[in-house]
Amino acid sequence: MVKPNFGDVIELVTKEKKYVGRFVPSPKKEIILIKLDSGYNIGILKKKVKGIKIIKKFEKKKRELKKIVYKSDLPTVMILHTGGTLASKVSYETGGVVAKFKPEEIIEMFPELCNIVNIKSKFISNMWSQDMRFEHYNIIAKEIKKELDNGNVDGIIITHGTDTMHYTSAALSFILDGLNVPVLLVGSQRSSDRGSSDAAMNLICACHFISKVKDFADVAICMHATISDDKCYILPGCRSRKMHTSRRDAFKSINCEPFAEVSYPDGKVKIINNKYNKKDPNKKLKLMLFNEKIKVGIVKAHTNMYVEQFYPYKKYDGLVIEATGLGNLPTTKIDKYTKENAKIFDFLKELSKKTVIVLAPQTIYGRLNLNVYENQRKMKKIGIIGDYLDMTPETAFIKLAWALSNFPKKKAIEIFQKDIRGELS
Amino acid sequence: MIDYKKIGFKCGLELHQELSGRKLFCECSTENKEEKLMLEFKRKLRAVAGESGEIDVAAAYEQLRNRIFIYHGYEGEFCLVDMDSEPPHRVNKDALETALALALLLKMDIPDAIQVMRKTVADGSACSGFQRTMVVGLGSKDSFIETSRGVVRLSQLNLEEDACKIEKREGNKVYYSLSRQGIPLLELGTEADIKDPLHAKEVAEKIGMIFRSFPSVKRGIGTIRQDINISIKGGPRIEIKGWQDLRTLHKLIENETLRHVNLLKIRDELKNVRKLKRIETEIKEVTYVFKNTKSAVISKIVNKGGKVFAAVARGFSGLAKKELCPGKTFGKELAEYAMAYGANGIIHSDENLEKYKLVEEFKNLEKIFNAAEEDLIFIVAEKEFIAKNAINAVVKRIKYSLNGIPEETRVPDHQNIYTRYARPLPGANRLYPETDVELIIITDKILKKIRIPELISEKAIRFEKEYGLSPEYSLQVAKEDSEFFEELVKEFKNLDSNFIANSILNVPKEIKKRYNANIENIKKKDIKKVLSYINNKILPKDAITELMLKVANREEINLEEFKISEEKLEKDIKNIVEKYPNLSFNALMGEVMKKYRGKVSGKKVAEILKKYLKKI
Repeated sequence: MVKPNFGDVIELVTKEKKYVGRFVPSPKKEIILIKLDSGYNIGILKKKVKGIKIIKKFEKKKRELKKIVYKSDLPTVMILHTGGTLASKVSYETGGVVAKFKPEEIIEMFPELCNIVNIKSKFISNMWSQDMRFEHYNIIAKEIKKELDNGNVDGIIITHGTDTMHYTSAALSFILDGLNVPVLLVGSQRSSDRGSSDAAMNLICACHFISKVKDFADVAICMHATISDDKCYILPGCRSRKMHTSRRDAFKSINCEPFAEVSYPDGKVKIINNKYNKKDPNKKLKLMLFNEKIKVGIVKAHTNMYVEQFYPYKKYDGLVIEATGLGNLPTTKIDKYTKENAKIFDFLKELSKKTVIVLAPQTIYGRLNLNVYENQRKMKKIGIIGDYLDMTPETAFIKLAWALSNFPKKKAIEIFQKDIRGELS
Repeated sequence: MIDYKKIGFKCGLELHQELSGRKLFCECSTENKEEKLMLEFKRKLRAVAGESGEIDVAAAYEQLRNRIFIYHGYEGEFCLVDMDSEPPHRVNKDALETALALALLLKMDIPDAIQVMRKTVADGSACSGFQRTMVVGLGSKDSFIETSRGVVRLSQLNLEEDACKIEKREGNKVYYSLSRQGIPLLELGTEADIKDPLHAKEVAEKIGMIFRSFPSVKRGIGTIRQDINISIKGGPRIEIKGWQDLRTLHKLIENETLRHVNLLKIRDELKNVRKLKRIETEIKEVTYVFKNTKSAVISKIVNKGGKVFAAVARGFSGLAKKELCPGKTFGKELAEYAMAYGANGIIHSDENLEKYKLVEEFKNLEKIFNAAEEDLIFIVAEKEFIAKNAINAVVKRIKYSLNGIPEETRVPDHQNIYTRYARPLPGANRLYPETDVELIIITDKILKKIRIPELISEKAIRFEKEYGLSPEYSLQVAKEDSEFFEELVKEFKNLDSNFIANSILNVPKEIKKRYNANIENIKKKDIKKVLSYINNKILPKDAITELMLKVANREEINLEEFKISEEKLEKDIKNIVEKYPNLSFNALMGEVMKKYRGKVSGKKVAEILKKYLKKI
């Protein structure tokens, strides 16, 4: 049997019937998918197929992209692609969604951008954000530095899958010491093949913000503020979190107000919270990268815990424990049923001699206070850190790993508890 | 009379039937009551280009209209899936099974694997910008319906999501309700085998009856809609979306055909009589001409900062007043292109300008354009960007007149029974896979379990044979609640099936008509109770109307009231006979029944009456 390529028009014969359509990719091995003339796809069991004939080979239409005209009165934005489908197009012939990265392609999809900024763009990776590792944070940071060192870039936009965007924004906040331009992370909650995608609006609002707010030199996330297509928030890079699995307004600032809102489509910017890092001619960008060998983990405290749950962290440099409430862990034996809690306490006491243990609130919102209950005071005594801190668990995780990467342990513990980039209040 | 064969009439239907239960890809209700507004949000849709870079004409048209869509969510009838804020849930199995049963019934070819597709929709009627749809059956050589005019082949059966319903339009804002979006919809298409308008009606009726054989189909206004594809020789295919009134379907098709015929006549006149090779036009902004206008319509717009745009079409005079179909001139049709961009319409020189108090202004425009007798002048007044788009659209349409009928999607005007311009016909490249839903594999095992319902037409024949029901009642019962009917026939052995059918079909209608009673109050258990009195000979058959009226009025049924002793009856009859010695038998019957209708059978009254008449 001949092997067609995707997009070829084929005639497919089974014992009973004959089908004509375009050969398109199938997610199931046992099924051959064809796209009928009506545009619909149907599947035929491979084992039923008696013969395939190619009627017409697929020809990819070639076309010239429109050249972009550089406008000297507009700021220049460098878009670094790391993932997510901010710009993608449907291939109706093969059924696939193809991601687009070239500046000309971005302008073709979002033509209004060329009246707001000049666009440059660079492809770094196209990965699922849950697969990210410290190495990737370092790569992105190095790319940012490279672009800024080359000059003529007024702002950076990083396209990113949304799941761990707040980890990356926190990581970049810490790495980019002396940052003197805006770095905005942009993603989309609904894929850009659909007319209602949030991708365009998030990107356009990010460009408006860069072009209009001249003193901003911080890392932030630019995503929908509400369920409507009416405004985006500029959210602090190290104080934000994805708070919904799917809504467009999933990202929220935690324990502080967003920096600003950008209305759409007019692009008006309203500053809400001006506690962002400002531009300063004396600043010089220095990268404080992650040590890729540093190991930090996160454990969530819950009822009915066992001491074994902490065993894996013996060989870790740091551990973030998501404590309940104001900062509690099950470490007290109160009756015959809670003997395990005493074991947990004893183990943490040992563990903290080697591994830096910090607490973060599993309530997400609010500040820890380790002075209210007896078990908290005991924990403080054995070296568990976190008192008065109001960082999200994710920021605590990133900050701890970054501090341990760049400072000796004692200094790292001190740095962890100090406000470095606006992550604490 | 149109000779449909001679003009090369071609017509196919696409029938849409809503299903009840839950929505196709979430758990929301399909009742579409829209009772309590819970949420409002706003979306801007973008025209998404295919990989080849071309934006679909219909999508580009929407982009130009620059509209904002506002969605309303009502309690229980929307969720994050409908808001396109969450991926779809698993496909509604009941709806899929109904679609598969229909495909089996119609002997269509069911694919081994069904892939859910996204069909791009740019007009906001799908909140996501696409509608989910899937092929469930393909036409085979055995899938057709028989009609009085020969077989009509079936082409494709789809199961898809219904779209949002428009609540209102305000300038460039369109308000949609999410309640209808996502309701499972069967879409059955025929080949263009339909011979004329009445034949189309017959086909729609037949298919409608097949749909209604399935217990899960929704009933009532708007739950079944017809899309109509029409062309005549020398013209393109025109798609009419969403006709809802089967009774006048043929009238709509007739009017649409007339429109085609007359557009071709206009083309021929331009070409052959007026000898035009192209239509010269010119557009100008002429607000200053209307500065001191006496026309209330125009001055209102100009005073608010609106602009007036005028255009001339050389050699086009007289055509705007030509009738395309009853109630519609070509001028009215041209205005629809302006209206599509948000303008109120156009005013043109083929109209009575005195009516608008614009005679002077149009004389002025004649001078400005240096226009001759045979030229058509027209104006659009609105906010600048709307007026500009609108006048351009009308000019473009006028220029196209030399080519005949433009290819486009049209919507019906249910009141006037004709069609209006909606948008350019979308291109073929609108479908791509819904990657958030897995391939649905249809195995033989699944198909074996599918139960095909008895068709209404078959059921009617069975009722005639099995229960001795009259043909009219058989069809009527089969169309409506046949299960309940069969239950009653089996339970009340002493009652005639025609009496039962009459009791559930006509009696409620009659008391509604005669007494304006609220027949919603009559529940199945009430009907059973009433029939049991009659079945057990506690009350006479004639009591049925009286009893149902009491149920509808929520009155207590007092059996004593219906129990008339023979003595009392005889006495009363005797009195009446004595009181009216000169009345005929029939008149006396009427007098007695006035008092005893529903309580004593007519037969009995007649017996006693006869007895007394003899005595006298």
